[in-house]
Amino acid sequence: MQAEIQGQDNVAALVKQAQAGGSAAFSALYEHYYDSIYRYVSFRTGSFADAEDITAEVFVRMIESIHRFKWKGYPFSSWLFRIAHNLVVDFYRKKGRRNTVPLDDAPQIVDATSFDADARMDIELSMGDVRRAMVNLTDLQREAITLRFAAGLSVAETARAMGKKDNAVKALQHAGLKKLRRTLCSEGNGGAAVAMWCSEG
Amino acid sequence: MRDSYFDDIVNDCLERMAAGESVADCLARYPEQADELAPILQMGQATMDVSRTARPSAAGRARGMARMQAALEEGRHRRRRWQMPRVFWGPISTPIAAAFAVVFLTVVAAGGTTVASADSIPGEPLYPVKSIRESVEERIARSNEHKAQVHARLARERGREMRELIARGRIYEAEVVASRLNRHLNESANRMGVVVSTHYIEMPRARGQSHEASAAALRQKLSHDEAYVKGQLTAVAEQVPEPHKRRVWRLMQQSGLGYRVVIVALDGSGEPTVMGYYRYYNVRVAEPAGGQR
Repeated sequence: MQAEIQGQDNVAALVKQAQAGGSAAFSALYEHYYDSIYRYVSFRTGSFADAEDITAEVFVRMIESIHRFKWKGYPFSSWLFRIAHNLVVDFYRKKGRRNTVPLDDAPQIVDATSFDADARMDIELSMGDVRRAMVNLTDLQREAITLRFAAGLSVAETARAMGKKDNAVKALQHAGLKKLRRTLCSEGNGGAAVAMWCSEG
Repeated sequence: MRDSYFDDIVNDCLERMAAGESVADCLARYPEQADELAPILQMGQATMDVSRTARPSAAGRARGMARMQAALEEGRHRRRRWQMPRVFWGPISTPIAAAFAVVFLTVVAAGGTTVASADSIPGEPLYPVKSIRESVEERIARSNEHKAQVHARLARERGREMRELIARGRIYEAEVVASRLNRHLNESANRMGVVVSTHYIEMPRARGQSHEASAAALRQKLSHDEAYVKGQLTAVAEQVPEPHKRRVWRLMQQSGLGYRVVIVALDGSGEPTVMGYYRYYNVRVAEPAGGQR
């Protein structure tokens, strides 16, 4: 999938076509960015079902406002993740819940035919552990960690998406990871798997 | 200075690990910092591993694509609707634009096209005509009260279109129309001096003391329309196949909430507006027996 539109030049060409109304360009952008945005949103919301809804909405918003996008020296992905970030903020405002970790409920609401249920259970437990620990991070640390590791953005892309300098993002990820580990490995946070991971580390 | 240097080392290792290098390899590159680096890099590796396991389902991806395509189609309709008026009266003052609008309406109505387009739904050949007619109506409404009434009527029309689309199994398009319904409701409230937000921490702002009678009239109309739209959707929800029922019920919740927020916001009594909104927002709409997600 990544191979389909490698490089900023190709993304730029697709964005230009999309701005001219090309359906194929929108589809290609969707395929290119869907997974990383989904990972980012599922990490932020802790719910696969909500992540699916919000990710779909990101692309609807992309259609609505892509004509306003202008190349100003930052990548298209930063702009797209800014939309995703705003929708996640909206999600929490609407729901009135900030630090819930509902991943444990996910098996009841996702399509059982579309994945290996046992594998998904493992995923939820470990992501749930990390998300619980992330509650203690600052908003900026959480955003930096999620964009860097869940979405897979570079430092430069993360910096543009957050409106920060590269050095600030590096400091945030460093401090965030340090605090994340401290929280995860302190006073019995998480289950046996977490305890084992901490003792091995 | 030292911190910035260490931040760079951490980042260098994380970049290398993302490219496939192991934690041990990177620690070997920085032996002097290895003790301090190790727990941070292990946490970084664990976070990367966990993140990679969050994979969207094929069904979810397909649903998202269909939703995007529906929005794309809807956007095209909207562009067709707006392009023509912009060409005509971008540089012209409102009274002249209104005169043009009247002429335009007369000509089109004489041909019977506008009448025929009244019941059209998105995707039908006459729908662009209907969209143009509606944008003209918005333009020629002179007062804010009148514009609020126009938007309220258009919201109700969107509700009817939702029913038709759902009945034809075009749920994605109905979801797009639901967003437009709420936009009309918000615009209607805005014209009465009420800023409506669906964010619970940005409460609907109570309107000023003016337009008391108009606000009451609008509130009454919206209450009727709320029942009308709910009735339309309830009727069609019964006929929807089981897998789509949940989505239709979500649309009912969405449009119901949209109406309720505006109606409560138009109450104009300050604090009770906020409390009323809270109370409503916490209500869970009962779902049909056996309804599935």
